[in-house]
Amino acid sequence: MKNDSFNYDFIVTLKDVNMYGTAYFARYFEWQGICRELYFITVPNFQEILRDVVLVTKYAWNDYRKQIHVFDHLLVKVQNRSIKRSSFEMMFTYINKKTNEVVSVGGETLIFMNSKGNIVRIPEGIIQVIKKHPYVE
Amino acid sequence: MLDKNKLKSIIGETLGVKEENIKEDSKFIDDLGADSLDVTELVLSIEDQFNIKIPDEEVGKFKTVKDLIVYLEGRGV
Repeated sequence: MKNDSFNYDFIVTLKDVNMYGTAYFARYFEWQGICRELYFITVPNFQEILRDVVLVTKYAWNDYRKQIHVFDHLLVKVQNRSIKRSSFEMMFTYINKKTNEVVSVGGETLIFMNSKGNIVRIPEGIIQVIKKHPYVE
Repeated sequence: MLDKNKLKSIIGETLGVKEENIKEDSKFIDDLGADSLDVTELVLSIEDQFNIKIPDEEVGKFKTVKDLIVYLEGRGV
């Protein structure tokens, strides 16, 4: 299958690192949040979809593999797996653009709830987009 | 008449359990290892496979396989 992904790249800056110039672990989750937002705004009519449902993170994780440092240039590939009727896992692969090494892999299991707090089907408009970017290890 | 074998197959596939371990008195959470998201996924799968719509408020009432059978039979599935 073609390795399509939504890509976000950025440079690690001083606010992201400790006194040794190494990125804080918590930043990976922040970057995942940014990637997720930027990914979802590519969904046609996403704001309209959110009038009926809310997006909920059921579970989030990050497997930290190599240190990254201030001014490293990172690429985050956003893809999806375990796409079911009511949930899917959004995957984040962090790549150091200079070395082309995978420095971290993360994931978030996402669900949607209606105004009564019931878990509902993934909206069709979102299904159509997430299926375009299947996770490839 | 409800096709219980089909239902058992859907439950097994959705929850990742062997069909021989699925009994009518099996509790989804305690016996079959499901969580609330799994039960929702199961109900949505049943909707698709049996071509019915199950109201959201019913989902929380399904504690055992028997609950589901009684509900589906009541709906004339």
